[in-house]
Amino acid sequence: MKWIITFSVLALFWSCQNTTDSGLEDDVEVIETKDTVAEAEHTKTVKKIFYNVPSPIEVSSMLKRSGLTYNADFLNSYKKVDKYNTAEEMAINLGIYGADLSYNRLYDQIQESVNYFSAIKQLSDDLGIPQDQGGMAAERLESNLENKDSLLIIISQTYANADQYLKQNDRGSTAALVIMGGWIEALYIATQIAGLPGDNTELLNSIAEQKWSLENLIGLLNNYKNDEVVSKYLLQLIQLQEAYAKIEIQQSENVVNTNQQEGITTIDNETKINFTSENFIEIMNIVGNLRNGII
Amino acid sequence: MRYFLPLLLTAVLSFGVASSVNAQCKNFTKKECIPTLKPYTYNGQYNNAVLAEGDVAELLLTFHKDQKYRVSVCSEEIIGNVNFKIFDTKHQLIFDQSQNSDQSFWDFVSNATQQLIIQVTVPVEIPKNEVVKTGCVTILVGFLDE
Repeated sequence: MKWIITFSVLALFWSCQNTTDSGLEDDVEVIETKDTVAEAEHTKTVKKIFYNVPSPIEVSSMLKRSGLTYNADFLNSYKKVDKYNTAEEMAINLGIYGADLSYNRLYDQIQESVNYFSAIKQLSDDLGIPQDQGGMAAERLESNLENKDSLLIIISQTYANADQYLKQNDRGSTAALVIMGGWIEALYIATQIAGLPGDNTELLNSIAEQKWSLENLIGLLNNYKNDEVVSKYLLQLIQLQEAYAKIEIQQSENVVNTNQQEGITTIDNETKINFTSENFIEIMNIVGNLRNGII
Repeated sequence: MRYFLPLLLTAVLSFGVASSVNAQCKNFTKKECIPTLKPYTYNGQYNNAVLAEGDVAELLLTFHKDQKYRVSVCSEEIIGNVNFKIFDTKHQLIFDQSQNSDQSFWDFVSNATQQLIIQVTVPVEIPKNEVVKTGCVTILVGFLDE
């Protein structure tokens, strides 16, 4: 009888462990954080830390703002989709194609968007993500081709549902690789464009500011550091982080201003970035090697 | 054999509890949380967990300059409205939902790219119950594509 009780307790414990829902038991991190708000000078136990990385759609927006023209040469061809056979390759390139699709969408490249979307669908199917979860019925895309906003929603839903499905099926490391692929591709395109002649100051600053996103990405991947595939990429990203550490970014105190009428708040802050051409070349090379090793 | 059936039942029940909580949280996020981001575009990353009264969870994310964002936090009714605060990485308080309004989201724009910490705290019911309540808590981020 005793061992039944023991088993029951263990089984229940196992069950509770799995109720974190995100499928990210490994990312439940207990840390002590200092809350320095004057009235609450005490430590709190933070039960769960999530790490988010800006989506490729957001990162692609900074490329558009740079005012530079579209260049398909920087993208990973959708024709290579059949080349990806392992779960690792499929997950990373699912993210990569997401960034490429976002880039195409920004520049109204409709046919290219369809081609990339088909490649994404194929990788998603091959990874076992159910179509209803992927939210990517081809007819939805086809009927919304001319509508840039609808395309954005479809891209967003596709990745949201894939992320959700993978995490809920104990494949959080695969979800993290998708995010990593998207982030690397967006940064790769940005560094390639910034390397072209012309005044690319704003884009260069945006590349420098990816220092923060890289920290988030490493935090996310660290949740799966025991996974052999993830640990391999973590090492490369840490090398990139070392190059980023050479960039000096100084930020003033944040000042918060709320516009009651518009219901939006602005966080004002002055930033000074010291990003030398040597720093840029080092980062461009590391990102280039990393990206070319995964496509 | 006499122990086999209870053993099997316990295992099946335990698995069932986990699966139903997963499904419950997923449906909750889809139906109750994602719509709160409109008209902002969901960034595609799913952050939710089952938390208990008194639990604190944090999300660390980089926000790009000049991009309009909405941070939305929602929780199942059983654990009440969770409070959320936003800090910068120097732990300066940027936003405290309890001091501003009852709405479960916050819209903002930062004129510098920076990391922010979104901290959610599940309230403790007073008088304290003997049974600790748990429920699904979701943190979502959306951005405006302009």
